[in-house]
Amino acid sequence: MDASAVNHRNESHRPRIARDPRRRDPGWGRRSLLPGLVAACVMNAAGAAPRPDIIIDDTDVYPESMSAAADGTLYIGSMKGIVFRAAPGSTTATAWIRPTSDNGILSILGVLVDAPSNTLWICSAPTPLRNPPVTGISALMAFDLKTGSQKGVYPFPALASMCNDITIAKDGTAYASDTPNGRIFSLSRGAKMLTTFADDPRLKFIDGIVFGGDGTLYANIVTKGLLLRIGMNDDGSVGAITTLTTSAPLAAPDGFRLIGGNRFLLAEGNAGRIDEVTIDGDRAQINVLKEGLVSPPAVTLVGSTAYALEGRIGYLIDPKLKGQDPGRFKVYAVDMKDQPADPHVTALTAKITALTARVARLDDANQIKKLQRAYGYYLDKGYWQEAADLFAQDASLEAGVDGVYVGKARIGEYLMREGGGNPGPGLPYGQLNHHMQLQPVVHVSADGMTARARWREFALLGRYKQSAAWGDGIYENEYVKQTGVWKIARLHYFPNFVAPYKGGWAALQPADGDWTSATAKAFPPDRPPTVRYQPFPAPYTPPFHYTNPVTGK
Amino acid sequence: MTRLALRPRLALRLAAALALVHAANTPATETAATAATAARTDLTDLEARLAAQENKVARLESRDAIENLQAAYGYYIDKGLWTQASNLFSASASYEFGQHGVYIGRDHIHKAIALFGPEGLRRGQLNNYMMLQPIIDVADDNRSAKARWRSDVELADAGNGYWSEGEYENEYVNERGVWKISKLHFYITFLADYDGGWKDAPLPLDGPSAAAPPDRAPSEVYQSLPEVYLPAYHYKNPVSEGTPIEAAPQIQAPAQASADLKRAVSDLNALGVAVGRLEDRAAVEKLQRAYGYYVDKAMWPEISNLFAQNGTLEIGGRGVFVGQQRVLDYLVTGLGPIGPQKGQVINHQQFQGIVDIAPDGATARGRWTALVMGTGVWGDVTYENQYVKQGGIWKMAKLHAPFNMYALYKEGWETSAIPETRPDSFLPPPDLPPTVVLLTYPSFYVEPYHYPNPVTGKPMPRPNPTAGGTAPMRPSPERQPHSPDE
Repeated sequence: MDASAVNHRNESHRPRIARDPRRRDPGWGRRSLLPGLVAACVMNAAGAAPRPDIIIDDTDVYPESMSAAADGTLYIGSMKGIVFRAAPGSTTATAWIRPTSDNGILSILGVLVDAPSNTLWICSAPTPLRNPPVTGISALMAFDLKTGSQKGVYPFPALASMCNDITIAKDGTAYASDTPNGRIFSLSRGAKMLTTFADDPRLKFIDGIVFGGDGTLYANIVTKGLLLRIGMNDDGSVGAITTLTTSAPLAAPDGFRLIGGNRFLLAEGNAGRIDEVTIDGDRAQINVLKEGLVSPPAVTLVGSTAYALEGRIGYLIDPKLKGQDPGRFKVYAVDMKDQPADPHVTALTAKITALTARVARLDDANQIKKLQRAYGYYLDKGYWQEAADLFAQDASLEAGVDGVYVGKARIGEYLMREGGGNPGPGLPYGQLNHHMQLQPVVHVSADGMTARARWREFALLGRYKQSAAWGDGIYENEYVKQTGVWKIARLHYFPNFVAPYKGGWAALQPADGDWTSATAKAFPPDRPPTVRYQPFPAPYTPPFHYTNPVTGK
Repeated sequence: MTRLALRPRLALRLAAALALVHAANTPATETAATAATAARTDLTDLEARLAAQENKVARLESRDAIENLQAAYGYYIDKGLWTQASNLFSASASYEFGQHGVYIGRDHIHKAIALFGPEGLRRGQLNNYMMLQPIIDVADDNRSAKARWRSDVELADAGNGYWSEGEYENEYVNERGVWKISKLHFYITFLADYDGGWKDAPLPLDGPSAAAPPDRAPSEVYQSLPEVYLPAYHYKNPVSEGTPIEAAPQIQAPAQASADLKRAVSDLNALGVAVGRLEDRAAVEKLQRAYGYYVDKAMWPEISNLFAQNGTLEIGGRGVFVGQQRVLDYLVTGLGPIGPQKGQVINHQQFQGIVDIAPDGATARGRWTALVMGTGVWGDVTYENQYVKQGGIWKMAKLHAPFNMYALYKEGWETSAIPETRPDSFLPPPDLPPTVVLLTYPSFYVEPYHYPNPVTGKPMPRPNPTAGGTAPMRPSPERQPHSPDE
């Protein structure tokens, strides 16, 4: 991570690059009507001089990672084990921290400026690519950002680990990727040891990791060209891992930094380019910023300049290049400032943006249907914990006149007790617990962050040789999207009847008075019911979350 | 003014800078292998491409709006809200229910709906018309649509209970952005006394009401069970006569194009992919629901045509049938003659679909539940199916339908439990043995979910080892992850 990534803690410092036409200064449209030459003059008069490229003042460096402080100072980690530093505006990066027997630095695959804790984090790792090979145990290390003195060493597990990249959560916790083993380790503020955050075969060959502006964690898989969203549960454990659909194929994605919000910089080593990545839901739009670079492993942002680092790793691994002089290693300054906008392109872009948002809302509706249907399939089979896990941390569940149960743990226990009291996952011999989730009416809010839906439950219930029954009822539920994942925020089930198979619903007698379930009597709710009503044969219409779709009444 | 004045300059610059390279109709990954044709174009071309996507998105939105509309109609009918329900129709709409005849216009439709009873329902009256299994097809111009639906109907009045079931073939019209029902036609398959069931106690259909006579006689004359009738499908077979999904062409801006234009082109490409995925999901849902409607009416050749050439079918414990011809053998030899047969009900209702399209858009998986209404039996079946897209058309690659519960109607699942079928339960023999051997209700089996938990992302844990046993269930020592491919 670099200055831009740390800056999400201080919104006022977020680099402003007006890419979104809706946020663009309306003056641009008029300015672009000027003849091109005049427009260029306006640009030059208004903007600062472009930042220069930077040469790394050493040989055999093979830089691997780069990060920037808010003032524009660049820090470059290298396979040689040296951290190079370039002052703001300088054209040269010089050695700053060197590997010593005291600090134990091996090769450096990741560097990250963490200004709030005055730390330069580095990923130190062994490498067979240098001659002689560098051996030892990979570690996450902390250095004083001002003095360069070592503050901490946090070894990775010994077995062939490789610390590769680092990102910092809003609470200051550092997360570091372990490429060959598909793991992510975390180090909370003040902790002495790393904790395993994620260990998943889908993360094998994880490389760059970065937090988005909303606190969502993203990562890339260098060997497969994938971008992943890594969900985080409310208790800090790893959540859903989702492969994003990219607008263009990626070749060896590596360094991954936040610009701000949902926009990122990405280096693609094998493609020789750096990109701007915009993530919207499960999609990532890839816009190339600069092509023709030789194996860029890293990119970072200073102001409106994207710095692209050339790694030239081919000179270490390609038999045709091995032994040849890679030359001086270089950092290219790529100006990201907007060109004067063509109003026609701006208009087109606005239309594309609007349509993309409509597509995202359609996706949202599909996700909500999946969520509620998955809930039903879990109840069917006694997967109470999995059903409760579909709720947000502070969600509530209310059924009939049983009252309101708040929080996942209480919801899980209510579902388990109401489903027969067996712990699961699974049902005992002879139980039928089929809860079909049907007839959705889904409405997603315009911002795509909340939704409501009405559903019908049609249930087949029973115990072999003991009972059999039909269930009928209505849900009016609310949903919330948290870090890109839809969750149930409020489930409200209005049972209409549970009717014995023999005789059916026509045989039902009025409930008369209190029809609180035995479950709620033994396991009282957190809050009283929000609605009291009588089930069938009494007529009752659960309120609709929507107005008449034709008359609007 | 400004716009017009700009045109010539714009055109000149575009001519120089905007040689968009078209990589015709191929996914981005194949572009390198495809001979790209260079073509000159301008913003008009991009506008046209965007308009094509806009049309597709609008029609997908219409599909969701119509799903909400018909579902909302059902929820009103359930509760005796006749005015709310009749207000969902267009001014000149038609309404035809069973053999009641055709009612024209909102006022007459209100009268026809009110034949169900008083507004708001009587105490003890049940009028559940579930709106299920939609196949919604929106016209290319997004002005009209057609849909097939199913209702499972639970009725009670004056102390008597009834089951009913039927299909809708409806039409909808888009009036200034608001979708309305322009034609509702409900075909009743059966109406039956609850206690006797549809095999033993089917009831005849009412004719036109004398109290509220229709505007026209029934448009189609048929009788309900034990007679059978096939309401015509508004759609062609989605596979053998289907329309391929056109992949949005991935285009490239030339190196010299402005950053804004490059971004617009890239965004447009991404949009095309996203819209394609939505169309894929809609197509897979239609495929699975069409399968169910074909089973209802024993349309065996239509079903085998839904399968890919090497697609497989595995239903219950009968083993695996490979390829279209063997699928047809299974259906015709095993299940009886083609077409609806007098006295027979084989409703295979396709509910609660969870469809996940693979990131490459070439394959998909779906979990569904089927509530089966057979001739004198209930069935509860789970599907974990796989689909493949070939030539832009989604086909059934693997239909896998383990039974959960089958019980005789007369007794219900309290005392009746029909065991899982076996490879030799009836002819013909399968090509391959069953992929899983299981015990149905009252024993416990859970078909692995093809998706991880949608919120936590964790794979499905194994069931508790004591689940389904006769000993009391104890807390599971540890939740072992369960790979869906096991």
